[in-house]
Amino acid sequence: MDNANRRAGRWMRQVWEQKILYLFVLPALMATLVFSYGPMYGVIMAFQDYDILRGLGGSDFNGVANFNAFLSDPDFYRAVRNTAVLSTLNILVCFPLPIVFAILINEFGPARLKKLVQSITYLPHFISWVIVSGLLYRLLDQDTGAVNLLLHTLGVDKIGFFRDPQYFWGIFIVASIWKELGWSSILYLSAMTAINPELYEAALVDGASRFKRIWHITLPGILPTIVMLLILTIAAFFSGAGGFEPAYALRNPMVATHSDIIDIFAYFRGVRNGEYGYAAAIGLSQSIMAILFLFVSNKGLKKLTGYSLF
Amino acid sequence: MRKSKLNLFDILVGIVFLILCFLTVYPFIYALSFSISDTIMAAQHSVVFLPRGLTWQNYEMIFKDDRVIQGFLISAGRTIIGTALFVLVTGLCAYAMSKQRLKGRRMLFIFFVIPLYLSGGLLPYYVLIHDLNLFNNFLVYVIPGCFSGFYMFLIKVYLENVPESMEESAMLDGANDLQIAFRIYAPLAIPVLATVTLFICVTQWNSWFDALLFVTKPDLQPLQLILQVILRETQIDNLLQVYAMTTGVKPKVNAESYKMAVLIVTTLPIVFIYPFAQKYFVKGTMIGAVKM
Repeated sequence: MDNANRRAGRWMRQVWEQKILYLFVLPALMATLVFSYGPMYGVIMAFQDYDILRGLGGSDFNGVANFNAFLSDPDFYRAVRNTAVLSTLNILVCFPLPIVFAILINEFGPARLKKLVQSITYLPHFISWVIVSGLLYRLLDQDTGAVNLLLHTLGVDKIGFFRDPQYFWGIFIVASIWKELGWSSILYLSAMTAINPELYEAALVDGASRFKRIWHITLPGILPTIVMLLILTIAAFFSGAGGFEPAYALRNPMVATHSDIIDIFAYFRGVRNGEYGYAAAIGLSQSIMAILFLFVSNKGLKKLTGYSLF
Repeated sequence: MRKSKLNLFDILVGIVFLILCFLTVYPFIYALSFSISDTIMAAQHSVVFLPRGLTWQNYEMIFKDDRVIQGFLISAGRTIIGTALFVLVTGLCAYAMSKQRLKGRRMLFIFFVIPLYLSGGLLPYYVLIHDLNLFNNFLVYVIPGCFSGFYMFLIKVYLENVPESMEESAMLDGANDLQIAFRIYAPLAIPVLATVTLFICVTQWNSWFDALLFVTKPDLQPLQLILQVILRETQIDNLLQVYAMTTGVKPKVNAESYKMAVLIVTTLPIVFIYPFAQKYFVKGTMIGAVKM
């Protein structure tokens, strides 16, 4: 007992000696506690008929009524369809392109041009979706946009790109590629720098073609990175390709049938309509699906490739 | 090892790269040309690449548009204050967490790691901000985002590579943690701190989602959100009238060219810092990729 007391006393003294270090951690600790752990606790509102004036303590619990409500809402299924389509296109088109781009950069000889291409293609990553949306609406304007002027000179009828919903998915995917192609290639390029150059030299001596070098050395070298990023992309399946910001910036009421992904649907119902519990239930379901997809894709890809995230 | 003279592969890929560069830059050139074109001229000869009938009236009008001026000041304010606060809070935490001797370091580590993988979602966050009375409050731009576990770990890893002997000798001289952190570690950590500073500057300047959710007062909205509103307006007749009355000149602009002028003004700060920032961005991302 006496020994324990003394140990506790020494521990307290050590803590006191480190008071400045704890002071350094304190603001970060408070911010994380309030703004990260606070909403995790707030998730219980998904099981409530949440009233913002009465708060979590005062609102009535209604079991899984919120979940039943959105699962029987046809508008929700349209949002699921849009999310699934955009995420699938994202995985099939937007995901592989940076790998191809990184390989081309890696194989490309002229060093200065290579640097220039990298500098230019990284730039759009730092431009907000609001600006990307402004550029696209101008470029694709039905009457005066550059794209329609080009189509006109080619003898094609003008297209209302942002009026007809059928074009939205295509526009979204092209915009995502334009914005992130260069930047997404960085992680692959940094993985390529770690590949042993002797492998390439040996392949050259053996007379392996460029394609064979890429296939047998470069791709296996960056496979762990590909798998890691693919798992994370698959886990985010139900947030759509990029989540709220790009979809909201690019949408307008005329294309809502194709643009409104789950995040947008939940935003309008929750924030705009004040159906807090309902929208929180959707958010919680998205998180659960994300965890599920994370584990499933991790396991699947581990079996397939031998690499995994954890 | 590889042949230094141009081969067919390099030529073909080079052409693809040049097309890619053109497609990346073209929308900006187009927007710029559109914003400095005389509308009447532009209506006759469509603007596709070069401006037609040069005019600066769109940009002169921006200075008469209180919304844009206001938005610019809010954006500049949140970028400066928000970034300074972030670097201080996250940097100090990283310094403490980089110390092996910190008691309870393991528990703090877990505490900071969990939010990297789990979050409560949008609605609980929205309600939390409401309950904290941060709606229509400038602090909502700088307080909730003053810390990030990801960047904290990035800085921490960097600080752990600083030789311990530097700290020991300073301690023998009687320096405390406050002095050691600011006088010894901060100058050594400039590369990683610069990377983080630039990333947060860009994030702050580009942010509009928080304003969309939490700020309804027009004079508190950042430039990005003002731009979003202007882009969706079909007419700016009021502003044109004000311009005509105050200058006595009939404006040669229309809503579309004005939109592009505001868009260019919103983009410029990013384009200006980009050349300086680029090497840090790439380096920072690579550190993150290797160590996380």
